[in-house]
Amino acid sequence: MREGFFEFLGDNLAEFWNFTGFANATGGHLIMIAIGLFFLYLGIWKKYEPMLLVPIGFGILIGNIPFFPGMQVGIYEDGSVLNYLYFGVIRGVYPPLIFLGIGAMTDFSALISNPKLMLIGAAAQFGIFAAYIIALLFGYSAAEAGAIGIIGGADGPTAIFLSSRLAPDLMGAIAISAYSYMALVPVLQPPVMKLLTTRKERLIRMRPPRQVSQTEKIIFPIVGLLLTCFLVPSGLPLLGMLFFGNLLKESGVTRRLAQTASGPLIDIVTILIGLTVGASTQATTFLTAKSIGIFGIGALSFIFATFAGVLFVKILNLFLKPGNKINPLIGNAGVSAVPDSARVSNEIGLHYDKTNYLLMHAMGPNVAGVIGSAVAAGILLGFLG
Amino acid sequence: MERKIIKTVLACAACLFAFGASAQGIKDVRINEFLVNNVDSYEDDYGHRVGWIELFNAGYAQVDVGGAYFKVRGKEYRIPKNDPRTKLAPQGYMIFFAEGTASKGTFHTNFTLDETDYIAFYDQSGRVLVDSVAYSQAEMLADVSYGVLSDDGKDGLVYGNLSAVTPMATNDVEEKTPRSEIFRQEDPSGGVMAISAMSVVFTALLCLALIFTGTGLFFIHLGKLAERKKEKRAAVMAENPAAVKTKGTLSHEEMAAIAIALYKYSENLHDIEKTVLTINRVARAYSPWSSKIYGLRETPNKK
Repeated sequence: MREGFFEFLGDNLAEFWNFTGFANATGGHLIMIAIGLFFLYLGIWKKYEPMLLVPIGFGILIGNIPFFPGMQVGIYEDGSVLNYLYFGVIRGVYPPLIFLGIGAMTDFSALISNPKLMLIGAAAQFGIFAAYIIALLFGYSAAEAGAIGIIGGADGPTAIFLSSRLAPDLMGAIAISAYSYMALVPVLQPPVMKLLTTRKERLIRMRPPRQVSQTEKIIFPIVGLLLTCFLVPSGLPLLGMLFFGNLLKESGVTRRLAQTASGPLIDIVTILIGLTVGASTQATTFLTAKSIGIFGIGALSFIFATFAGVLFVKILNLFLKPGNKINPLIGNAGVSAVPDSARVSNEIGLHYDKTNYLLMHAMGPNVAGVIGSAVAAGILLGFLG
Repeated sequence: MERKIIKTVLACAACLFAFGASAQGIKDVRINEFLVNNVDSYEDDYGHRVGWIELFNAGYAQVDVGGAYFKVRGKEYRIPKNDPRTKLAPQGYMIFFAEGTASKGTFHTNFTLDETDYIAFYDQSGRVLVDSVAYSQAEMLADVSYGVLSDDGKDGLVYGNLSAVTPMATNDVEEKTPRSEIFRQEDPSGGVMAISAMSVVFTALLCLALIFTGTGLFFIHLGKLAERKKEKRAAVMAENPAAVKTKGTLSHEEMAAIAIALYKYSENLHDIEKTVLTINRVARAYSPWSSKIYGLRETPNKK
């Protein structure tokens, strides 16, 4: 009887042990947990994009708790709670909602007052297509290369949206790469900006932007939507929501809707997208040679985007009259990492001239970059989807 | 009376909508594939190899084919109603075995396919033709099914002998190269993509920039016009104040008269002061939380 009892107890404990994370852990899980902790360190202690890195970092921990398959707990297991939440990522539901919030938060005045800054936002999208070419060279399929290329747009929701359509298997790596490099914009961009500009160029003072009327601010999202979406209808989910959010803000009659879109709604979606994207980096699916390649190409795409933005301003300056010239330090802001890249322009500008504030000027190409990257995503989806 | 009219209109609209929905639903069903000479192919649920017809719901809503008709030369088969299995899922398939006996259940027809050269599918009324296929018995080979070869949406459906028998599945069994890979074959380096996509991005933002440069100039011009008008009026007023009398503005004399009238009126209001100090309790007895209109139900109005 006693032997039978202990045997029963032993069997149960052994069975329980098989279900624990300790029994199912692999080296990959431990590596990913270390990466998750590193993200949390960057987010909490270094304060690099905490709104993104904290949910993603914690999501990586959640996604890499080892478990016995078939318990309906993993993000890739049908019917699990995480799988339901992940639905919004794989079906591209969350990114347009985030764009709605971004639209409701963004002031396009800087862009409207100096529309030629929009072209910088277009030039910086070269990073996307440079990354596409490099990814093709490294043997990725065309759809995968398109999804990887969008990292160069420096726009997390757009990267998730496009990769969910073109290369769902690589979405975790692409999203993590995009968000990581967005957080590392203050590290990646300044060397390229300094390399491409002379001291004289860095000291260029730009004319202060003019006052923009409310009518112009209301017209902008309407014309912006009609023009960009007629040209690239596949960008409709992102551009439609971006401009709709902006109209809610600027119309002045839907203040409550704008506040909800730019406040509680975007917060909820950011939590869900951050956590689920983090959890999607389950070691078994994430730690592959392709993922490592994506990180390398992602870094290059940011460098190429900065390069193209700054160089474009220098070329544009050749055609502008003295007094109307643009400081090339705002060229980096053409990538849509709002407002980090604009902040980088401002900080470097202030480093060379303590009274030359470039933030407002840099916000122009920065928000143009949001539109440009969404248009670029639409084009990639149209060609490769 | 009004309510009755509204109810009638709503009921009619609902009926029309329901009719439209059901009509659209059954119209989405088509004869997708059929096998006349079944020697060594798909078996029915009795283990027999007989001819069969496959229906396909090309729409995105469930369709109940119960009550609809198959019609062939000289015979018709009405699919029994109220069988839950006759609900055809969106983009779903359903097989009917043409065995010639009507006693084996819903999915067994009373005709065989070798006694006809024509199959038609009618809706529940038996009068509206939904789909039909004509064929030649001589062309019906053993274990080779006949059905929709392609549906390109322009020239309609193209029928013919299929390369494989595919009951309850799509007829399109050829492996297709993804569009992205076809694009890659045309543009292996990605250069064409980069140039064309950058051109589109530039075009989109350039158009936006041009429009808003124009809009900006227009608004700046409007602002300047308003300013010039203001300056002009100020100049005229400085020269001859009495001459300036536009809509919505008052002359100095009128303003002075109004100011005096208001002053006199306010003086009359406060000519005698009581010089008594009173302290009143500041209290707000009313609050939405205690309001009766939120707390009480409306008395039912029985007329």
